[in-house]
Amino acid sequence: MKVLSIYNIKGGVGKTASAVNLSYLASQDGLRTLLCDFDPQGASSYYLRIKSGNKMKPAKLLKGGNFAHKQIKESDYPNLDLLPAHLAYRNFDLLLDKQKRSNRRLREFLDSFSEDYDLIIVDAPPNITLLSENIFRASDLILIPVIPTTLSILTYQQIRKFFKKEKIAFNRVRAFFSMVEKRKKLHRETIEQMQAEDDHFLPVQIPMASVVERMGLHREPVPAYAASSPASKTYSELWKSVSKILDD
Amino acid sequence: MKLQETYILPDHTVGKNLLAELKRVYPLKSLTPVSQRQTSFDSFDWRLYQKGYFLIDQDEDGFQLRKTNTDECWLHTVKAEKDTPQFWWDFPKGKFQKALKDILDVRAVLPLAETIRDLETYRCLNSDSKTVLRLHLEDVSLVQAEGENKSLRHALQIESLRGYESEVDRLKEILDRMGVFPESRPRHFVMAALEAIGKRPFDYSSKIDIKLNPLMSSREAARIIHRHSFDVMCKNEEGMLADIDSEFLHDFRVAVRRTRSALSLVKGVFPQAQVDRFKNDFSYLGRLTNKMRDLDVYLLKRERYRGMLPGNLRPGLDLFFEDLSTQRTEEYKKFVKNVRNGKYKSIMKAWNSFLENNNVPIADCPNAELPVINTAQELIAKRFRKIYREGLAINDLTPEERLHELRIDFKKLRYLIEFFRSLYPAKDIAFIVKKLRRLQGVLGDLNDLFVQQETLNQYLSEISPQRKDAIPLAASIGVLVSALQREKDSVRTHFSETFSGICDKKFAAILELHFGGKATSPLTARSSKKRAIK
Repeated sequence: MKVLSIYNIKGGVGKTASAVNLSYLASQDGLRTLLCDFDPQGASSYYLRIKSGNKMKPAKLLKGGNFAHKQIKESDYPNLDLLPAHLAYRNFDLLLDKQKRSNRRLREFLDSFSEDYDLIIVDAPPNITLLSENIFRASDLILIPVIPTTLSILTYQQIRKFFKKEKIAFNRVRAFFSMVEKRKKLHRETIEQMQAEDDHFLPVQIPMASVVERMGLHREPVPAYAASSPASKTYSELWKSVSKILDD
Repeated sequence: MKLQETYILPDHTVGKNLLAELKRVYPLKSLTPVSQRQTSFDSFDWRLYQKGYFLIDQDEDGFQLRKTNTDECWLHTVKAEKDTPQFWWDFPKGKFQKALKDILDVRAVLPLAETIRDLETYRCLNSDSKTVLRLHLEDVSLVQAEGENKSLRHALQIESLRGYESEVDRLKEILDRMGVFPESRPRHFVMAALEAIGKRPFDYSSKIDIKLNPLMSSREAARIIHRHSFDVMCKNEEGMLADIDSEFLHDFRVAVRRTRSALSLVKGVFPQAQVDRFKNDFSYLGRLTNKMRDLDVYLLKRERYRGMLPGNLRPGLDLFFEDLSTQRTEEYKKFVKNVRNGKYKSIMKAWNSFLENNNVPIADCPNAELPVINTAQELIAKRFRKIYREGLAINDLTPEERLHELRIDFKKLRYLIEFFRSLYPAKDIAFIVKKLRRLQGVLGDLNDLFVQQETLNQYLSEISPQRKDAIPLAASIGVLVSALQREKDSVRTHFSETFSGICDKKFAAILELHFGGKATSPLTARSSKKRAIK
C-alpha cells in the first residue's frame, strides 16, 4: 500500500480538485483507492457527494480499528472509497500532541487499511501543523500544486524550508503547476524559471479551465463528466507520472 | 461493493415491472445495459471448485476468481498473453498467478461452460444524488454449440455499498411489502450452466471412492474395485491422448498399478488363467507409459533443479531440459500411435467384458465366495507383518535396494487399505493412513532421489564429447547429482524416526482390533510371546 498526499500551505491552488481527480484515475487503473479527506472544509467529500457519520470521535478514529473502518464510504465509482471529512478533524493536532511519537502516528493509522487498499490519497489541510507533519512523514509521495505566481513560489519555498528544519526528506516531494493561464506572461516566465531551477517540478501543467471549476456543480471527478477535455487529459498525464514515481 | 441478496424471478417482464414499481418509492437512475460473455474454467479434477472458486474469463474484464457461494470477485487480472491460458504460469504475474499456482499446481484448466449475462444496472440515490445501492436485473443464458442460447435464470440482485449497508434493509422491506422474497439458497450462475450441460462438480476425482459391504463375496468386491480403476483409466484416456497436462497420464498409470496390485494380491477370486492373462496385459499398459511418465517427472522438476544450481551452471541444465523436451515429443508420438493401435483397444475391451461377465466359473476359485471382510483382514494383516519384518531390520548400513523393496510393500499395503477402507471405521483408517503416509513420503522421496541420480548418471555417461556444449552440460549434471546425494542422505536420517510412528501402542491396538492379533505389530508380537511364557 502506498500513501500519496496532496498538500499546500496555501488554499485555493487546486489541491482538492487534484486529490479527487487523481483518486478517480487511480481507481480506474484498478488500484483499490481510499481518499482521506483530512481538510475540515470537506471539499473532497462534497465533490463525491458523501457526508460523514454524525458520531465522530477523532481519538477512536486514530486507533484504526473497527470504528475507523466503519467511517469509510464507497463512492459511486468502482475501487474508490472515501474517508469523509469531519469538523472534528480540526482537533487532530491537540490529540496528536498528547501522544507519544506524535509526529509519526498517522502512518500507523493508515497502515491499518493496508489490506483493503493499494493506494491511499490524503487531501491534506492547508496549514503547517502537527497533522501536516504527520502527513508528510506518512507519505511515500507528497504532491504540491503550485500556481505560477511570485507569491505561490514563495510559499513553495517556505514548505521546502520547513522540511529542512524538521529533517523530513524533500526527495519524496514533487510539485506541479496548477491553474496555469498560458496567455499570462508572468505564468509562462515563472514556469520556465522554476522548471529550470528546481528538479522537483513535474513537467505536467494543469490549466486554469472552467471544466475544472464546474466540478462543484457536477460533483463528479473531471474525467467522469468531461473525459475528452484538455484538463482531463492533463490530469491523466499527472496520474501517469505520479504512478510511475510510486511504482519505483 | 458486495452482493447482498438474489431474487429469482420467473421471467424478465416480472423484473421490469418490479423496477417500475420501485421507481415510485426510490429515486433510481439506470446505467447503460451491458452484455458480458463469460467462459468458466476448472481443472479436470475440480481443484478450483474444491477451494470455493470459479475461474471466469469475462470479455475485456480479464480473468476473475469468483467465489462459488457469493459470486464475489476474490482476485482479478488482465487478459493473459496467451489466448487460452492453461497453466498457472500462462497467467500474468502477480497475486492472481500465485493463487492459481497454489491451487492448480501442475494441472491445466479446461473450459466448462460459456454463458452470456445481460445486466441492467440501476443506482438508488439519496438526496445528494449519491448512489447508496445498486440493483442489477440479470438474465443469464447458456451458449450452446448448436441452436439458440438457453435461458438459465432471471434475477434481481441487490448490491450494497460500503458505508451504506443499512439501505439494503430499507429496500428489502419495500420488496417484502411487494411480496418479493429472496432465494433461500442462491446458486451461482455457473452452477446453473453446469447443470444445463449435465456436468457435475467432482464427477472426476483421482481418489478411490469404493463402498463395500463386509458380507459381500470377495469376488463381487474385487469386481467393484477393478471397475473403479477401470473407470479412472477410461476417464483419463482422452486427456492423456490430447496431452493436456501430465496428470491424466499419471492418474491413468496409478489406476493401472492398482489393477495389477489387486490382481496379484487378492488371490483365488478369479480363475488363475484369466488373472495371469490380464496381469500380462496391464503390465504391458504400464510399460507403454513408463518412458513418458519418467520424462514428465523430470520436466516438472525443472524449476527445482534450477534452484539447486548456482546461476552460472543453469545454462548447462537448460540444455539438458531441451534434450528432454525433444525426447518427450518423440515419445508422445510413439505413445499415441500405440494407444490408437489394436492391442491397447483389445485389452481395454476384453477387460471390460470380463468385468461385465457374471458367469465366470467358480471352480478353482477358493476365495471367490468368502466374505470380503475375511479376505481384507487376512491380506492387510499379512502385509503389515511383512512390513514390520523388513522395516525393523533396516539401519544406516542397509543397502538402498532393501529400502526400495520396503517401499513397494508399502505401496501394496496402501492400495489394500484404499480398496477396503469402507469396511472399517473411518476414524481408525484415517489414523493408520496418516501415519503410513508420512513413512511412505520418506521412502518415496528416497526412491525418487535414487532414480533421479541413476538417470542423471546414465545421461552423463552418454553425453557425446563431440557435442560443442558438452562441458557446460556435464558440469551442470555433475553438480546436480551431488546435490541430490546430499538431499538423499538427509532424507535417510529421518527413516527410523518416522518408522517408529507405526510402532506405538495406539497403532498396535487399532491393528489388533481390526486385523487380528496374529503378530501384526511388533508390540503385540512381544506381548503375546510374554503371555505364552506366563
